[in-house]
Amino acid sequence: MTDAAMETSGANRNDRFTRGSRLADVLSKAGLGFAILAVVLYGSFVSPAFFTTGNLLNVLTSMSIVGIVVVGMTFVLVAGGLADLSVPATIACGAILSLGLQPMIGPVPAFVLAVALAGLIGLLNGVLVGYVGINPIIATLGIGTIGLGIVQAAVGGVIVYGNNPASAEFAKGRLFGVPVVVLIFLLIALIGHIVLSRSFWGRWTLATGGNYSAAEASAVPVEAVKAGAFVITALASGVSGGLLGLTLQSARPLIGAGYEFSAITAVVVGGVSIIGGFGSVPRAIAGLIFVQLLTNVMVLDGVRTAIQGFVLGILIVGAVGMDAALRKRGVA
Amino acid sequence: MIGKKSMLHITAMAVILASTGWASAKTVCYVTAADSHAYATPANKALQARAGELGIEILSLSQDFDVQKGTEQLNTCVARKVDGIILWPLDPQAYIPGLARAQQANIPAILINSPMSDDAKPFIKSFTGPDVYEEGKLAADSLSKALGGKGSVVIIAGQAGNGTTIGRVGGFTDRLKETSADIKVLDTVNADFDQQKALVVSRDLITRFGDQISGVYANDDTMARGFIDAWKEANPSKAAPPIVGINGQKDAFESIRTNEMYSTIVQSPVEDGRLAIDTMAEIMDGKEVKDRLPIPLTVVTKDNVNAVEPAF
Repeated sequence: MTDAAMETSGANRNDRFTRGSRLADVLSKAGLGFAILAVVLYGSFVSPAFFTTGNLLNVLTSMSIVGIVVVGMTFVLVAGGLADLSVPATIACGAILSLGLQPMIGPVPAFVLAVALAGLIGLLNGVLVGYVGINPIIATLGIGTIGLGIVQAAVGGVIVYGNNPASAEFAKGRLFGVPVVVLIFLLIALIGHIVLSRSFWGRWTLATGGNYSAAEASAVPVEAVKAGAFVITALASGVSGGLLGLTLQSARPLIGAGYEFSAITAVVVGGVSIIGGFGSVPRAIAGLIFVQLLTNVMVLDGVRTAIQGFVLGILIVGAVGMDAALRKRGVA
Repeated sequence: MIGKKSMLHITAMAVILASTGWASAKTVCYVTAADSHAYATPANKALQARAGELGIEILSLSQDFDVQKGTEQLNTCVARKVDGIILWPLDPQAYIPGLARAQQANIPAILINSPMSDDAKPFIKSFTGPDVYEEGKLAADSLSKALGGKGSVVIIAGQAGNGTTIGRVGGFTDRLKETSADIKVLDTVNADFDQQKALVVSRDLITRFGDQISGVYANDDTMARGFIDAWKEANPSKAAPPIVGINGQKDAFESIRTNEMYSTIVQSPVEDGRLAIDTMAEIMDGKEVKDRLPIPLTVVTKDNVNAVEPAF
């Protein structure tokens, strides 16, 4: 590799600060690790129940559903797609259809079809954002609202209950002591990480988000890459919704409300750039772990719901501010 | 992002579109909480069906649990000069300016299902629906009975600041104070009437208090289900403490039969919807109505679970 090539592929190696100070460099790489460690120490200090296998497993189980969405959302942010606000619709699509279609076609085909239809919503998002060039916030909000409307009309606006105990047992079950949803989440996270960090698609995604015109000039299929990010998110949300439906054995159209913001919060707190071109799946998941552990500690400590929201808000503003500040100092 | 200006344009367009509707005998604007919700949907349907029988045209608008949306819809109703407004409030205060405008336009307004603060009283003709405060009191009595008047409980509440939540929690805690029951509330957590959120907070509550929890009060049956699932995860072989829910859903009836839940309180969404439109019809006919019209509530335990119809 020549020096020039090193410069251009820099973003790929988390090398964000060629001109920033050494301290900023260390902090950006390990800051979140320190933060997580601080929360763990504080948690162990205030609650004897915090650092127990049971509790940590609970946190892991609770974060798995939103974690699957986080993996997809990372692609959207890194590709410069800002955010996907259609997540509640794709989650509802996954949850409602994977339960509602069970009596007709059986649990496995129902799940697959639910995820496929969620992917279709993502494809619509992708076409509008990647090829037509509509602002992602508007496009995903619109498509999401339409999708949710269709799902609501399809089920008549009530709760759909599951009627297949076997599939519920599977989703709630454990393998080697680890909950199945956690295993599925880890698998999806691993695939997402490999694709983003080790494949041509990942390189294209980083390039598209980093410098759109330069990537286009270098023969990167920028439109397809941008569209693909939304398809990936929709598929992930569909899986997440399907698992949510199976574990709860009931789904209502508003089941996915709020997940888009939980996912965006995790990705942004993880230090993935909101403007695109920088980030990785492990970073986003570290952000998610941090937010989830913090919430868990606050609950165990008896902090009121209102204060919890306040703390999370400060976190988001801090993380975005940090992104902007580092951008000024770094080269990205 | 959407600019303020274009939002204004969109709202203005919506109002213009809405106000070019056709004139009919009597039109009632119905601002409902949501159009796809286990309780709201049957209530909406019952209200619509009854309105059809009475020959009243219903203009139905759904807030989707968004208060901001609801206040705008209320203004749309006033702009359309409808003959009456039925509002399902999601907030004790936010709709007051809109209700005041309705009053100025001589449009009678009533509240359905959920209360608002006393400041709203001058602007409404009546409030029909379940007495959520009363439900809280009944739940306290029921749980007290299950515990033999002694124990420590957790409260899984709905959305913070929502009228139903305030009433159901307030009625419960006030009632515990009133009676000489030795029942301590360990903690009250909000799970927004959502099963998944209830599952997550219940896990944390079980981690935190463990065997100290001798009873559970959930603001609705959906959240009660969340606690049951969390308990089963943590203690597969141990029976859960007595759980009291509200709403009277089908699955809660099942849980009562299998001893997973102790009791629930039935309020019928169908009666809720019908009473509102009946009351509005009387108002439009110039009759006087009471300012508070409750619907009946029934506490369901194992003793009467087979004799009562589930609400939905």
